[in-house]
Amino acid sequence: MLKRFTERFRNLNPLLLACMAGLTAIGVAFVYSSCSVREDPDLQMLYMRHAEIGLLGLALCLLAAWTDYRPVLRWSWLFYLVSLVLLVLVPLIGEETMGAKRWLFGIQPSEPAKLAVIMLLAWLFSRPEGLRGVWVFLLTLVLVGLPAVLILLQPDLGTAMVLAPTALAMLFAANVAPRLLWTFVLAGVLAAGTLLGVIYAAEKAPMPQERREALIQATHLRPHQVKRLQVFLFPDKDLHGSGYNRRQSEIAVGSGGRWGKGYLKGEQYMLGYLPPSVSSNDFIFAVLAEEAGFAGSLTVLLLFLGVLSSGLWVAFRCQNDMGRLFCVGVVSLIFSHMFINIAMTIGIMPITGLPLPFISYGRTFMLTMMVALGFVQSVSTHGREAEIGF
Amino acid sequence: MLMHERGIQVRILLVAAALFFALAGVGARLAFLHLADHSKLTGREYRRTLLGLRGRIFDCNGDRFPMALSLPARQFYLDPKAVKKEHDPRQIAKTVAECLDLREEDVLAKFNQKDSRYIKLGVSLNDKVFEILSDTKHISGVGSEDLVRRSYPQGRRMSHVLGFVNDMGVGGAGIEQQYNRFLTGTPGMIESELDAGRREIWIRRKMYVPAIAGSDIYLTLDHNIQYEVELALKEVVEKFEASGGWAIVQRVKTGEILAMASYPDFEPEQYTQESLDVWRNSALAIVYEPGSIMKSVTVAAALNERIVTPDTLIDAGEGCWMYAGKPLRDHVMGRISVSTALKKSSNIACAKIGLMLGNKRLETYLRAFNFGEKLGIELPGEERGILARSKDWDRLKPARVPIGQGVAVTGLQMINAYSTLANDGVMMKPYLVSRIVSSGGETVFKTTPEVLGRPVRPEVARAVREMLIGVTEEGGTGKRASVPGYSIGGKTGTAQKAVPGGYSSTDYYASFVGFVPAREPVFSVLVSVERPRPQHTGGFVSAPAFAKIAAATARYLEVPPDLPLEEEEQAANRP
Repeated sequence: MLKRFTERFRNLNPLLLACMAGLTAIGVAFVYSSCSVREDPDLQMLYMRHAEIGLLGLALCLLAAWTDYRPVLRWSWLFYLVSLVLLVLVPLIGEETMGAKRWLFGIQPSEPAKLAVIMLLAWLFSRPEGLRGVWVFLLTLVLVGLPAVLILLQPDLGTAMVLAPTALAMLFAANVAPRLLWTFVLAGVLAAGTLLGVIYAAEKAPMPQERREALIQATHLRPHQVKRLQVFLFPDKDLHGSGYNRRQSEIAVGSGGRWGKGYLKGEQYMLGYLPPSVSSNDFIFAVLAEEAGFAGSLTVLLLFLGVLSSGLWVAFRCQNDMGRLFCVGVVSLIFSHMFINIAMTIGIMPITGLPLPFISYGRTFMLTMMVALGFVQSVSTHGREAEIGF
Repeated sequence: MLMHERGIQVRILLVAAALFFALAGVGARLAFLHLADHSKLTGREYRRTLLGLRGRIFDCNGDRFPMALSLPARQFYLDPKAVKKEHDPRQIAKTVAECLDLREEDVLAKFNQKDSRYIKLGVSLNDKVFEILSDTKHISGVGSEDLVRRSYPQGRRMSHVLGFVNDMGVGGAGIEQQYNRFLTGTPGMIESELDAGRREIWIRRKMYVPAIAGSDIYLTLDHNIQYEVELALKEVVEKFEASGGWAIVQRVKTGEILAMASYPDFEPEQYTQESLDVWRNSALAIVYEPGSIMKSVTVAAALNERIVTPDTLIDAGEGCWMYAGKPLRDHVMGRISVSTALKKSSNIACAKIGLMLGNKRLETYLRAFNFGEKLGIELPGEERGILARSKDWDRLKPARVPIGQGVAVTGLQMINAYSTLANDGVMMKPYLVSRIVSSGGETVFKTTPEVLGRPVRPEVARAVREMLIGVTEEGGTGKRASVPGYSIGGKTGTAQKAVPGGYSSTDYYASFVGFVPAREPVFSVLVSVERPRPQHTGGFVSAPAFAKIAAATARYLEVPPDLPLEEEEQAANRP
């Protein structure tokens, strides 16, 4: 019996597990660091919440790894529907914080919704009868679009946005309507380019003030989004307003140097230059980079590289498309979070509020990510059973 | 199937390649930020100049009565963008309005000026206000900074002597201007670093130089006498609808000024509300023809030269005397003694005494009494008056200068001349700063009375004083200047105001100057009123004001009365 139990863990991917645990440990350390200067004792203890949820996540991860992912993924449409219902409930009975309604009974339904979308797409693309043609592509757009729009309404642009690269990576891997996909990607790049071009022109081109405003109006973006794009294009524009966080996080990274200022010695958050409201979640990488320097940020980058490469290795080794596509989806999701978060911290992307997986404080997000990696482990242990069948 | 397997595996590798490529990009940027030299990325230096408090000004009563002092205050300002969302601007505006004594609507309107992040709200000296407005639980967006406020606890009192301090902390008039260098404190400095809340990080402090407060100045003026003088002056100017007036009280033995006032006066804290004319210390900055009060100097000169005695008879004629083709009118007629000439203020008799002296000697005496020269009092704006050299005098002047026409003086010069007569002919230098004490308690400077000269012999001075007692007695021109219980020596003066091309027929300077008590004088008083209406004579306008000031000052200085009680009663019952 016990042997049967352990048998299932024999093919766990050790690198994936180790990197995940390593990142979580780093997360606990730097949530402690960034919250050590807070006055509220509850906030000072935030690192304990992070550690607790990390352990719970690890347990759920192992549970997911032990479970066979195939029957679970076959029920993915049910998870998807439940997620949609929860997302619909959020604006109705959700809790409002800082101008956004994202929480429902202490959890953020938008996080498990991402996992549900990945599961559903993996299942959809792998069905033998599923023709990977134009109709599937359009269906995908609808299936991804529904939760994305609901999340966008919360409003939570960042979370809605990461769904796009994830879905695109899965569509690409599944080879669904390749021409349409590339057209779609091209259109998206053009649209983003045009948007930035308009913002750039509105700032730099010689024209009267009314026309500038009319141009910015034409983008249909919220004022704070326009500002973030402006700050991205012109970093020195509003250093004490919307460009403040970006500048301060860059200073944090830059002042870290090679080896950093030392643990618990970061000045940017300690002196309040990095606002305490963001230093433990969206901008935690800045805290880390300042205290641990290039060595620290490179370590984190390598750990993520470990997670991503082992995830893709599992996909590569897997014997069925459902497992492969699921892994690609999860890896893309984690990568998107990581890339957007670090990129905004170091000023190569506009600022969007996205957490850094395993390191930023955020309980629903943490659990979701760990469960997702648990199923990747499940793909690793169960995905090769087909081999035996041959 | 195999083809399909290969296809998806290649695409997974392509995804992997794309991810590694992006990761490499992030890594490159991180390397750039971490490894390049960004040590200059700070901008958090904190330099603060510590304001050295300006020194205080006291009157002769010492530390208990500061006339001017600097108080550390807070300038409150509003940063509308820093108002937190959980705070209601109306509630903040209400608290601010209550604390700083402003109108609530005005404060609330400032919250909507989103384009500025520094809107001045007001100044408060109250620590309690600072505490209330610094309470971050209920208030946000309200900041404050150090400010030194010059305060004059007695308001308008001594405004012309004290002067004022401008926004830059520089004295702009009076003692504040004259002693600016002594009063100004030495600023200190802090060099340090700031945190994000723009608070100084104490452990990063690099330099601290404490500020040094300025020196304190002690005046010879007494605010009690000053009060009486200002009150009397204000009354007389308002009663006679005059355009202004000035009064001085001087201690005759030392020359120190006990009170000096001009009217209209001003609030030194709100000096900008008044014009330049009001700031001027008229007592030493207005040059006017003194009129009859000059006759005492003429008579003293003639006595000193032994040309006349008090009893020498002089023919005052029939009320009109032609000299140099111009008539000189007089209300005294017949042959009168020198004493009577002064008592009744005879123009013709005094002019004739002046002619007996001759131009040169008359000028010499006037200069000996310091007319035409500054006395060097420690205040800005002192005028020298106008006294032409005698060889430049026209034909009319020799008969006019002796009675105070064709010569212009300041009030200070006039009272100093009478103090000289009261001080047995010893002319003291007038002064109003008794000492300067540094913030460390060290006396930096102390004034000692200084003799400027001895223009007339003591017995001459005494003789003139005897004559001047007559002025305030029955039959004299200044009997309204008498004070019960005291003998008063003094002289009335009514001078037409000089206007371009001649003299005004409606505008006069009405003066009374004298000393108390007349036989052993302690102090002297001058009152001059500019353009009184409808009465315009010194005896009618200025003499009563002189009496009020003299009576109050004599009582305050505890000068023993020198007249018997019955006479005092009689004097009091006089209609």
